[in-house]
Amino acid sequence: MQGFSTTRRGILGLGAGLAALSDGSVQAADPKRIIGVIEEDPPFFNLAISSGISGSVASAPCYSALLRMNAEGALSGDLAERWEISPDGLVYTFHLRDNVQWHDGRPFTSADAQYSLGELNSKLNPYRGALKSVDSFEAPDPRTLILRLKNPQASLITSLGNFCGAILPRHLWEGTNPSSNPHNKNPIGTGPYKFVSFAPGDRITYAKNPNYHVPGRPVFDEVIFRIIPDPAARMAAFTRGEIDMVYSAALPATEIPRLSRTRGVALRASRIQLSSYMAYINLRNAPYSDVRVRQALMHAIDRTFIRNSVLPGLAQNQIGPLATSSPLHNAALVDYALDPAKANQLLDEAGFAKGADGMRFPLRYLFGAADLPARKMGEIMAQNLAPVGIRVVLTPLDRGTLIQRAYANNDFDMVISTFALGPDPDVGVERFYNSNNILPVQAVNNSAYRNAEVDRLFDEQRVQTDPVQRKAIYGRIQEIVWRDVPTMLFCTYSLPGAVRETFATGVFDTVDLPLREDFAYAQPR
Amino acid sequence: MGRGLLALLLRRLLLSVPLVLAVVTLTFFLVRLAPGDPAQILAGDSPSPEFLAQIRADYGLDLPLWQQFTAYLGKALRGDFGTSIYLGRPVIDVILERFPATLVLTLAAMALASFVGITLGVLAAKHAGTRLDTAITAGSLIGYSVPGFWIGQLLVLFFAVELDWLPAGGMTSARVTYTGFAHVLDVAWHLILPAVTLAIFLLTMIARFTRTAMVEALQQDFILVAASKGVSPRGLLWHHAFRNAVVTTVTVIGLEFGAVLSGAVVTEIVFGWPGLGRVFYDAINRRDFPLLNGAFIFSSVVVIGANMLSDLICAALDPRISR
Repeated sequence: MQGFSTTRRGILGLGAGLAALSDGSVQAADPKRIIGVIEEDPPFFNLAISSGISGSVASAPCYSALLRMNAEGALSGDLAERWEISPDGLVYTFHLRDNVQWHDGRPFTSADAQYSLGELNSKLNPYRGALKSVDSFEAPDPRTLILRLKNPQASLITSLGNFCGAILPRHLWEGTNPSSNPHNKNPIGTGPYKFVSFAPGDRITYAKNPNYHVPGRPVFDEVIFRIIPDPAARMAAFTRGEIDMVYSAALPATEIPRLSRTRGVALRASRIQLSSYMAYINLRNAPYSDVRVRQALMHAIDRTFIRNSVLPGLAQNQIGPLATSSPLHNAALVDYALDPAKANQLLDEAGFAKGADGMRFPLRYLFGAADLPARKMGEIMAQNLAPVGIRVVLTPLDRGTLIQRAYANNDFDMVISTFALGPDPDVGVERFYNSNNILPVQAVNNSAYRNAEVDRLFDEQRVQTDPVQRKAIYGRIQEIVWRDVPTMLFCTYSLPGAVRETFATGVFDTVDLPLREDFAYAQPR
Repeated sequence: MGRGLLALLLRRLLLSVPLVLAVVTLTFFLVRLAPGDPAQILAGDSPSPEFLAQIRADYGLDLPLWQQFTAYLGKALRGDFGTSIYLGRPVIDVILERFPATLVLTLAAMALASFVGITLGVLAAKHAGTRLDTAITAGSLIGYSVPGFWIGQLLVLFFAVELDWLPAGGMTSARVTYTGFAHVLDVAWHLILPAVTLAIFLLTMIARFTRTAMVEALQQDFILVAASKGVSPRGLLWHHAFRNAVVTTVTVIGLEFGAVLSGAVVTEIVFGWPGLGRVFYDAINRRDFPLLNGAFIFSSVVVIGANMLSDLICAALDPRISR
């Protein structure tokens, strides 16, 4: 028996008879399990209405989408067997798979996809902007779904395979209150695993879906997610082999060098999506409403040192709001030089003279108390900014207070967090800079940045299907945003997830994908 | 049960009613003083304003505070503590599901602390003024001062990660499902490190108080009388001195039950133990007001009950108390 070693029995002082008794009580055939870990109870098991990481990971084994995207970003059919896009880019026709069943045994039809995309994703999904060009969702027959667009939208197809395409059963959701539907905590999907139970604070259990639409998949009998909030406890459990995989957001960056040297452990980073350590600068009040002050920050803060010391080997320089690896990145942008003299000059020009103590004004830097990299970045920034007369006030806050103070009350000078940049900037980046997205909630345009040209260009890029033209539009957006500095872009990074390759193969980082492919294709070694 | 004990019990019960009401009122308003919107925490990134408003309406968070309070009080008096905002389940169900894990942990820790603490306290008193006494006293002081989360993490590093003897956390194995007696063993196996971690603080308190009470008892005239009657040293120590000192020990255990419950919060986080302590921690972080209120009320009742039990045990051990 795997669970009770000889040492254990010895320490407990139990005789062989007792051990035999316990052996005999174990279920006859232990199922093949793959065990993951998440850091909190998921708020929703529902990718259509929430993008929280724990919820995304926990929902992943259960759901399918129309399309799936592999680690390289290539799309293939999932619930849709094939699809066509009209030459004018205005009509998307999806031909759905036959014989797909919901976990409760009801057949999956185009009406489910129509309802999920038209009523849930397009209204409630945090990335709902990705579907805003869709004029109508039509289900002419049970196997066909047609999306008619008001204007062409370049990012639509990737959104359906990734951020904004979860398909839920219409018969369980229609006419219900989406925030309190019991299936938010008891998901019914068409994915490779059926939800079995959720014991808050302990674990989530899923069992193999014998009717999964990919023949021979999944291979594991069960998937279990243990819920371990303490990072040290998570890593101790992984080190001991109590868990087999840790997705990137649950893996502390400080553990990566050690794990990279651990035999049998593979680190897998996303190749299609990066995250950004980004701080909103509050443009509502002086002195930060002055662009010269914000540019001075860029000249005074040593972002290279921050990148190399806080996330060594994991971070890339971020020049502009898009990742430098994005095909739409504007390579002509020039990085701000580290130049404290220039920073002082800009601050003087802006009219903020140094006082008798050498200080000009404070910078209230808000960050999550558990966000260690954000704390270190703040500490380095404090050292960088003191010589130019800006006193950084490090303000660690718990999540509830941070959301209230920074995002609801806008009571901050700078607030940092990590943000997924998405497979397309229309989904992942536009939300930070479009003035129609200034809302008292988190992860939108919380800087209150308003630039009419940027707003107009975001609208233009959405309908532009010529890649060259679209890149040109994005080039101009990046130029303006980079000049205006509404956000402090510390770096992009891609943290890997970890998997015990001695135990399982086919599992890779689980943040960037709807994950079902991971779970469908994971198999014991 | 004697009439004195019954009167004591009734008195304590009557006193506890306003106490519980005060706890209900205070916790309701205190937890809402902390900034934070449970709807935003639940909804996550970039929620639509309509979705946020719907969540607020679902849980009555859009009503004036006094209205929320009167509604809550009315329901609470009927035993309905509302629905957890984050978990979407009745508060009482969440608490009753999670409390057994905490009960197992705290009882195991208290049993361990009582056994070891009393033994050390009696030993120190018996050898008062010797090096052994100094060592036990100094050890108690260190155990009392060291934070529980630190001890817990050290124990995990040493016994789980380095030696690979014990599990790093959780209450049961995830790899294999045990049933019957093997399940009990599995839980016991996972219980060792958290129980030891949680016991250390209480153990040192018990050791120190027992030592003091025993030293005092050993200096009493009745000990001299008993010794002159030829009672063995062992009989003097355990039968005569300890019976007098034990009231202090039981009082300490009863009074410190609340501290042990608080300690369980940290211990449960370090060891991923799915008990009521984690419910507190998570409910605070998520501003899950109904769950937090319910957990406060429930644990207050448990602590009041434990104190009453300790009073009754003391009264039974020392009849002078209930007179």
